[in-house]
Amino acid sequence: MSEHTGSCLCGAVKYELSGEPAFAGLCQCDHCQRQSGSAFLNLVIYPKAAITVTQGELGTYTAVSDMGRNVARQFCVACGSPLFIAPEKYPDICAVAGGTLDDRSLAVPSFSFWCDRQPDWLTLSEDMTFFPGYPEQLTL
Amino acid sequence: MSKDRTGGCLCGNVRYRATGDALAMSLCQCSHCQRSTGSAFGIYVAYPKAAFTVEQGEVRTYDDQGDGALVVRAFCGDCGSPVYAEPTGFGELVSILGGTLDDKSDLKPTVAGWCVSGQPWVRLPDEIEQFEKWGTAD
Repeated sequence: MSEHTGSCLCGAVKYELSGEPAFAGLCQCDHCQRQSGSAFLNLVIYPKAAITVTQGELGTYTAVSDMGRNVARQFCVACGSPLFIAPEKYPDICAVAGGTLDDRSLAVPSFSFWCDRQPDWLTLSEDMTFFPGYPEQLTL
Repeated sequence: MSKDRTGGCLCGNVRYRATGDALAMSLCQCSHCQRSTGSAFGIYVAYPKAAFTVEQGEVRTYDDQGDGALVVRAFCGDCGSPVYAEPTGFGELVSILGGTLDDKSDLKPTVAGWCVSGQPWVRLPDEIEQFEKWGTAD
């Protein structure tokens, strides 16, 4: 089973991932924009059981999404890097913040949620599927 | 006269205001900005320090000593949101993280740096001047 690794900006938090991601995408919602300070969060989906934090201290902020559900957002307390985003809707999975992976090729997004928030100056790969808002009918 | 720009972190504990015109709006695709944002790039809206105020809450800071000059990164200790960065060597400057602005309708970056480490699935238009690394200081 392949192992992948990642860390926050300051290196205090390190993690290991067992196996390949289920899939990867982007979320451009307001919460993901504010947590990243960027135009989107790059989310790399793994089963929770595949994620091991090997060192470091995480802070957790639980946000209520636009759809009214809890999303636990974990970050490094020493540098703020977003690390893990766990939506209550899917209790067995967790999204790893793609920008913190050592191998960014794992994070290539195949879709984007909330593309109606996408700014004019940004274009994303035409290979992606774009959802305005969050597609309620989607099951993972 | 530009209107004030306001913004804040995800949890709402940190709120800021910037007055007057922004000096520059840029993107950075360096590895540090990608790890700091968990994303593909940082969006920076630069203001003179005197024009920027944290009106509510307190930030924590991390001294990011990368390959170049020190960047002090300010973030909310309660939710992790990067709120602003203070790059050294550019004078008294504060760069707001664009994703934390309340109103992004006039957010238009004109320059992007460290495109050499950009993600292949991000496409930037020709109107954004793109540097492999950072070119001359702004």
